[in-house]
Amino acid sequence: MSWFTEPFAYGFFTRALLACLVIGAMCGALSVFVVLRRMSYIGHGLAHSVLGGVAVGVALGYGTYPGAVVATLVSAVLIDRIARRRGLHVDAAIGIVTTALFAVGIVVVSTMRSHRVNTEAILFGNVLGVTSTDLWIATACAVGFGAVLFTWFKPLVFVVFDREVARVHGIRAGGIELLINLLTAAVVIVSVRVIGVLLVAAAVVIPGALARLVSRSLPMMLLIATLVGLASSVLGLYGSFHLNVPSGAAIVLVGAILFAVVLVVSSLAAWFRVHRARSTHREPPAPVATSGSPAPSPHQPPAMTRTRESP
Amino acid sequence: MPDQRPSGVAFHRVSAGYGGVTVLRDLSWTVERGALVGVVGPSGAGKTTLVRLLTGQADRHHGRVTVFGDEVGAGGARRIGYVPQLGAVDWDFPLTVGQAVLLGRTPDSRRVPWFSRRERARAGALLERLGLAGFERRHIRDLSGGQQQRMFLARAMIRDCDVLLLDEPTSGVDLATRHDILHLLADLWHDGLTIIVTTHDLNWVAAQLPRIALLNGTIVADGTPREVLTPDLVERTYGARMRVIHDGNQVLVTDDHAVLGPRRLAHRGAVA
Repeated sequence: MSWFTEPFAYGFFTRALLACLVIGAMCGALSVFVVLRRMSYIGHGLAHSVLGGVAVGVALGYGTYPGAVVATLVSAVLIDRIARRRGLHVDAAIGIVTTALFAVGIVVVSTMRSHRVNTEAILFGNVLGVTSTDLWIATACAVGFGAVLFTWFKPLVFVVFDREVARVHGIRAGGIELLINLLTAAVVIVSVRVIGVLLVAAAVVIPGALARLVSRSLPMMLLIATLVGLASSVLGLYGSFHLNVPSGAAIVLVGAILFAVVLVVSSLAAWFRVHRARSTHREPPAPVATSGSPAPSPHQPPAMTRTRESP
Repeated sequence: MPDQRPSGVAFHRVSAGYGGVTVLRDLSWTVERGALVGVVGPSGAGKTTLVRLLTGQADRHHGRVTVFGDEVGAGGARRIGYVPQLGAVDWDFPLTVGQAVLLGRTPDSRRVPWFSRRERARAGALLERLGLAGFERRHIRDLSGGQQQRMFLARAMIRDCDVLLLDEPTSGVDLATRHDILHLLADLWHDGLTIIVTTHDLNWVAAQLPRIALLNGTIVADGTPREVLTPDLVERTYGARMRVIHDGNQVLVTDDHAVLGPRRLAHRGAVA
């Protein structure tokens, strides 16, 4: 039991736990749309652009958040614009925009005389560095994220499932896709403090990927992914505390282990289903020779003559 | 009071394509209200572009497209229900049949994550009408090809559309499913919907649909199968000579030269 209560003796842990709960739930819910859109690379890319933004923001004296927000939002919009050009896929857009901003960050950090940017904390996450401000920002982001998800859930699902038909039904698919990119950007920004630039991509993919293995309806997938996001964040935080390892790495490892377990269990379940079906299989009757005239089809074509007056 | 608006779907000297590439050239064609038309043509003839003009997904370079008198803009026509090709759908997407149909109500539905009881009742009634009663809670992957077509028809119709567009509904489906689709189209046509079906399956439309339009960049011919399916018009459309056989009310188009007939296969040792 002390394993559970001991960390609360430290003041930062409660803040970190609350931040993990908020961030884990957001990453989990967001991962559903990231996975279903097959854009797992976007979290990786946007997280890299955070480094560039933070470096420039600190260099100009604006602090970490303004730089990160501007860089990530600019990345999200640029990715959306470039991906709409014919002949360029979204992976190319992500690769170009975000690595360019990452490179800007590297250049700025390496040329800064004083080491005002803690690159290790940005790259790998630092749960000790979660301040009350971080927590408030994460909470505000979560409230906004939840409100958008609640209000726009149906258009989001329609566009992700069938963009072409959603457009025919009058939904602005481009706007919805930009909205998803902006949501991803917001979640990445607030998650980087705890999880780190290099690992946040996994946090916005693993819960959704796991949930997809075991769910057949979207509400269920959303619920499972959110719970997995919460569980990995909290268990990862405890692991980070007790094993003295970076919080981001611990959170992602817990998620990866959960995914591996579910993958193995679901694969075994599928194998048993196939095995059981084979064991109960009966030989079909031998095919009938077709030298004679064929049997009449049960499907008779309908009469294509109008029986009603034209309007 | 009679409807005074112009009828049907009309293309007025339309050139269209994608970016700088023109697929349809100077196309003028009218589909009357309540018509059922099959659009056939070779690959690259512009069948899908024709459909995408109506859904706002192709670039119109010149001309006008109207649906019941309303000009179709970049966002597509408002009164259209669209059934896409089945091959373009992610069948592993976590959706039940009922949820997939209800998505069609999204633009008119309240901004909450669930659909109202009335909307669900409407989806249920449509599914029942299309022979999918009791399938609401099944995963979309669990349906056969014909049932998937019916599900998407229900999604299109839940929008209360007047024009139905079906893009290659017979592509990759078996004979029984083709019959299913045909029965369904017949029912919907009798209900007064205007239906445009694109297909590469010349004999399917020749045997079953009352009206055919031959397309190859523009409309080559438009009329009943008997009027349209002549060796000359088919050659103009497909660029190859084909044999047209008239048997009573039925028309059959076959390749003029049997390349893989039984005798030739036997000669090559392929047939015992």
